[in-house]
Parts: sequence; structure tokens; C-alpha cells
Amino acid sequence: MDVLLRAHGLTKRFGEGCPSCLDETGARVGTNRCPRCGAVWAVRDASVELRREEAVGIVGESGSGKSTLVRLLHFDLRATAGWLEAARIPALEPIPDLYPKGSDWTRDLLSMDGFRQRRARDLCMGIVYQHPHLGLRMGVSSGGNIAERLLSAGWRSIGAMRGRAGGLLERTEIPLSRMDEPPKVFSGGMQQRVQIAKALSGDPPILLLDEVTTGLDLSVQARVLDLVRSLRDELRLSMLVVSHDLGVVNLLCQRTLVMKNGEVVESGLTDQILQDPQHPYTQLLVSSQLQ
Amino acid sequence: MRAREWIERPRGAEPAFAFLDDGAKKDVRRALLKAVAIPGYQVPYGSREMPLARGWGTGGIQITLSILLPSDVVKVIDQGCDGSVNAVNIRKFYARVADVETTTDTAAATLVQTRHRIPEERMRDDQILVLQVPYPEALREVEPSEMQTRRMHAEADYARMWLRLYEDVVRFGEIRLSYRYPCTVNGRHVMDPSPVPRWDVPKLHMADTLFLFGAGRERRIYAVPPHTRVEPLEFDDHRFRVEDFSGKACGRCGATGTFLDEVVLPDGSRAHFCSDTGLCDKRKEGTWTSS
Amino acid sequence: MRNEPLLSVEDLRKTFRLHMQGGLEVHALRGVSFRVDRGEFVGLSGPSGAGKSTVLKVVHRTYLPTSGSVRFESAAFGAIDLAAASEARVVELRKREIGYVSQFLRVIPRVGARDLVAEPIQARLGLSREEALDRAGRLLDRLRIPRALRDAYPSTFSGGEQQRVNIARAVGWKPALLLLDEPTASLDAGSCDIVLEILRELRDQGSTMLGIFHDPELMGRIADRTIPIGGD
Repeated sequence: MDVLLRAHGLTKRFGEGCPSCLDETGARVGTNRCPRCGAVWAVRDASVELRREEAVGIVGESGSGKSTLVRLLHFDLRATAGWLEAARIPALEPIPDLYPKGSDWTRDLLSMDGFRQRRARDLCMGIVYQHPHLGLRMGVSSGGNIAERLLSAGWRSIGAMRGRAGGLLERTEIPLSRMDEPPKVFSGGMQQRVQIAKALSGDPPILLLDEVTTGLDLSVQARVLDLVRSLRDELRLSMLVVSHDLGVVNLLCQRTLVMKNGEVVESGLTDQILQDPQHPYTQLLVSSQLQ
Repeated sequence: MRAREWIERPRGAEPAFAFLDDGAKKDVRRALLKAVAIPGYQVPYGSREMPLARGWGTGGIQITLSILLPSDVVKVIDQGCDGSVNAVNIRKFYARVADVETTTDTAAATLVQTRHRIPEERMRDDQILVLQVPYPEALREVEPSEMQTRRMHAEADYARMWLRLYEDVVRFGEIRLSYRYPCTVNGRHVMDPSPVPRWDVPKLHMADTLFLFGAGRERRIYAVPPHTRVEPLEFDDHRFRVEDFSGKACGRCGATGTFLDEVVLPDGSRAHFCSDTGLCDKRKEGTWTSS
Repeated sequence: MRNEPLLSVEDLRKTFRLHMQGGLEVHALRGVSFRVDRGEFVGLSGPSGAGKSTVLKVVHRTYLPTSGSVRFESAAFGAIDLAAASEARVVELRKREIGYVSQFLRVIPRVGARDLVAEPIQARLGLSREEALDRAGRLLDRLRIPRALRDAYPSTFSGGEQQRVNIARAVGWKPALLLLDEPTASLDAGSCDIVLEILRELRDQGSTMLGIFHDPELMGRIADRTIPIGGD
């Protein structure tokens, strides 16, 4: 299985930082925040690989850095350190000079200017956030939310855009009759499904899911997860699934990373993480889950 | 020395030609050069104190004062009318500070300053049109943050504007904008043509004339050089349309195919009159010939 | 069929380190070696808690072995030591060649019984959805899952029904190597007979199996030979 995306040494620090930071923060110490200078090390030296048609889970508790990690990959935040490269994906061809001559890997995407980063991201990634208002324009119609992506890509026919938006909404089980309504009148589960439709509108090979079912009612959660599962198989997506719920990750992902205080403490096959956890924290996490 | 003596003391130098000092003129001229070099791009400049309140045309006046020559013949219109209080006062001001000839005949003018209308007669390559602009930022309606709109222009990220038009079509069946219709200039920047009606937008496209736009309150200058593409934002299946005056004629000169103002008469009935009063006069006097 | 073994386990050891119990070490396997030839059904026998399940889980890579090797002759990748293989490799093998049946059905919310069984058939054998559903349906029929329940969600089924769906899901795509961990634990005698019949057919069609049965009599009826685990 070829690797699509590889990130190494990802770090995000909020605040100045000081010489003691590294010794006074991290998984072993049990905190993200440096007691001397107050800097918060949200993510420290995290590495992750995503292969074609693979789903990787990222689990951890609050403050583990799992959401921050995904935001770094999506360029919502600027990384303090680390590099990120993408393989030769057809979706990225339109960007000029992205691949050094003769290389199968892009330049370091983290050190590129914001404009090219955003272009690369819009071409190969879709994201679904926990809170729909982060990923959707609540006052714009659902069809419009999807059309925005298409408009960015240069679509100029309203009929064609509505056709594509309608298809995506149908696929995410939203009645076509509601295409022109804004998401703010929808239920939480439906809002998530609009987010999913929007994330998929550009046909990205990679989908990032940041706690997408947290806070939803159980039956609604099941519906959304079922949708994500079937889309994953049908569209052959690569996915990064962030969740604090091991059950979600067990359902969707073949591999899982466990994070604590910004660091990746363990990674492996999902069933191995759940049934034969090696790291003390993973053992604690697994034994704490209700089953 | 008492205050009054100080205030009324004789000054050394003569008052500057056309009111503005050299420094102010240089600032505006530099901005104009940059504006012409990057069609449709809003160039910031240091907007000077004018003997007119902000929001009444100070931007247009600063441009005119910076490029006026004693040989110029100046026409000033307000909503197409030479006779409005504002237009009259500004014209008198130019006559006094620059000793230039003034006119109400577009064909005879070398420089035309206008608020919210473009003259009906096609302007030539030896003429300049200066437009007064209240709100230079085309994207302000969809994005309140100045930092964001600057980024959007820099990255040619106009999806939000297109989305606004999409939403109009979806909700109302057509694009509702009647003035300040956004246009793509030279295939690159989206520009607000100032509050001219749709009727006037096609006049900007591939014209022989230089168009200069001044926003004094907002401190921005932009330009459309001659023979530049100015294309209103439209969809393949929902094209740009101008106002429809079929079946109507000017009650004063009988003209058709010109922008008409609708007037409610004292007896409650409606009549239409040419917005371009200078042209209406010429037609009435019989001195106008179409070229 | 006596050619080289499909699976060859060499001095396999597994020690669990329980950090929450102060680092307590539990030695689950202390050096297990055996081989499984192609087309064989090998049973693992031994006292309860001796590590039979552990052996299966290590082969499946659900458990990480502490030391030893697990050599598997993969049709796609040649000879592989599952103990040392990369995660990506193991994922591929589980997708294409190695199957696993446990006592517990992994319920996927909102997916009906027939869809559950059809999924791997469609994905791994490359059949169309209709063909996969058809095969799944027939398999469920054989295992006496009432037609009315075909599209119901197995979370509502009885233990026995769940287990039968589980077995159907694991055998439907005919894995090269099938690992079975007490697959008939909650089944009545009649169902056990049907399951054994299906497993025999699977073996005759070329699948190799390594399994544990709680009932030694059952094991005797299907296994070509048994290997004792623990107590040695």
C-alpha cells in the first residue's frame, strides 16, 4: 500500500518557550504546559503516515493534541516545527512546481506560503469538524455550502453545481427538498452530514474527521458513522479519524495512534491497541472505556 | 502677537495650482501609476483634507486636482446631472483653483468627473473619466474584515463573492445587485465599478478611455486602463443583464436606448427622463449627432 | 496435501506487562512451536487459560509476540514472518488471505446481517453487490438464519444467531488461512453439525484452518490433528 501523506516531527507550541520546556512537559511529565514560561506544547514531535485507502485513528483525552494534529495537517494552524510531504497524487497535478524535479514527493508543505498550502489542501483534503459551524456557513444554503468549493475550483454553471450538490446531499441522506435551506435549521446529525457532503465535493482522496460524532445522540451517531464507513469503502478514501471514543476508531480504522500531552505514545493495529496495549497510558485508556 | 494677527499674517508663497500642494499631488499620482499598472487593484494613499465633507466626493476631487492642467476642459456630473448642487459646486471650485474651462458637453470635455453614472456618449482616448467611489471594496458585503479581503484579492480567492451570487439565483431566480456590480478586471482582480447602474458596466469593457476611481473616505485609488477587459461576474446559465427600458422614452427629448430616471409627477403619474442631462440638452437643442 | 507448511510457528513467547498492576508480568506463552500444512485443519488443545487463544491472536497479530517467529507463506507476498511484518503488510494479509472467527460477533451499527456477510465477499472476491448478497443469503440459509431476519440488525439477535452470522462473515470469502477461536461456543448440537459441514467444505476447497473448540469431541470430528498447548 503506497503512502499518500507523511508527516514527521510535527510540533505546535503556543507561547515563547524556554530551555526547560522539553524537560517539564510531555507524556511522561503529564502536562502540556511549561510551569516556567507558560508555553503550551499542544503537539510535540508527532509523526504520522497515511496510506492509500487506509483509515488511521488518533485517540486520546482532552489536551492530548489529537485535534491540533489534524488542524496542522489541514493548515488551519501554522506548525512550529516538522515537515509534511505528499506523494504523487493526481489531484495535486494542477499546482505548478510542487514536486522537485524527478521526485515522487512534494516539497515540504509546511514551509510553503499560505496560498499554495491552501490550494494543495483544497485539492486533496476534505475535513469534517466536531462543531458544524466550524466547517459550514450556517447562513448559506446547504447546496451553497457545497457549491462554494466548486466555485473555488472554477465551476460557472449553476445547473451543473446544483446537480453535483444534489448528488452529494442524496448520498449523505439529506432530502433534496432541503438543498436550499441553511444548515442552521437542521438537526445536529443532519448538519454533520452536510459537512461530510461539503468535504467530499472536491473529490478529495483524503478525509479528515475531527470528533465528528462527539456530542451527537447515539442513534444519530450510528447513522453518521455508518455513512462514513460506506463512503470510505465506496469512494476508496484515506481517512484520519480523531476521536476520544475507542469504539469509533475500532469501527472505522485499521491503525491507530494514541496521544497524550501532545506526544504519540503508541501506534499500531487498532485491534492490537485495544487488546494488547503496550504503553502504560494506552493500558489505562483501554481499561477505562465502557464496553 | 495676538491670535488674529498670527492667523491673518501674509503668506510667503502663492497658493498651489489646483489647491493641492506638490507633496499631496505626488502621493496621488504615484497611486494612480500603480493603479494603472495593476488594473482593478485598490491602491492605498494618504487622503488629504478637502473643503468638502468626507463621503461627498473627496476622492474623485483629489484625483482631478492631481492631474488637472490649465488647458483642461472639465465637466462634473452627479447621477448624470450637471445641475445638481454638488456637481455645480465642484465645477465652480475647479474653475477657481485651477482656472480651467468648464462645460456640460461630454464631447467637449477633456476630463469628466462623475458620481454614480457614466456618460451615455462613448468617450474617446483623449478623455479621462474620474469616478467618485463611496465603497471601494467589492468584497466588503461578504467579508467584513479588511485583512481577509486583502488576502482574498492577493490570492484571487473570490469564491465567497460568487457564492453570494449563487445564493441570489437560488433564492430569487436572479442576481439582485443593481449597482456596484462586481466585475473581473483584466482577468485578475474583482472590482467594484462604484454605484453606477448595470447599464453602465459594459461601457468599461475594452474602452478607449482611461477610468480612474477615487475613494477619499476609504483612502483608495484604482483604475481601469484603456482596452482592458472588464467582465461582470456571471454564470454560464445566468448571464449578466442590463436594465430594460423598452417601450419607454425620455419625456423631454424623446430619446430611447438611454438610461432613464423615473419621476413621480405631482398628479401621481410616472414619467421618464434622461439621466444624462447634458446629452438630453443637446438632443433638445438639436446639436447632438451620434458618431 | 503435503508440501511446505502454510504456517510455521517457532519458539513463540508472549509475556503481558500490566503497568496498572505495577508492571506485573504474565507469561502467556513460553515457547510454542508447531506447523500447519496446506489444506489441514489443525486444532489446539489444552487446559483452560493455557494460551490457546493467545496463539491464535498472535498469529492474527492482535497480540504482539514477545519473541519467536510466525512464518506464513503468503500467496501475494511470499514467505513472511508475521511477528516482524509491518502493520501495512498485516492489514493487507488480513484483507486478502487471513481470516479470524472469535466467539463474539463484532456488531456494526445499522448494517443488516446479510450485508455484514456480503461485505467481505464483495470486497475480497471482487464480486458484484448482487452476487455477494446472493451468496451471503444462501450461507445464512444454510446456517438456518430465518429469512425474515436477513436484513435485521444482528445486535438484536440471540447469542447463537449472532455467532452463526459471525461464522458466515468469516467463511464467505474463503480465506487461505482461517483462525477459529471457539466458534461454536454458543451453538446447539444441530447448528454445530452444520458449521462443521461448512468448515469441511471450506477445507476441501483449499482453505487451511487453525482452531480451538471448547468441546474436544467436536474438535475430534473436524481436526486432522491436534497440538497441545500449555502444560508442557
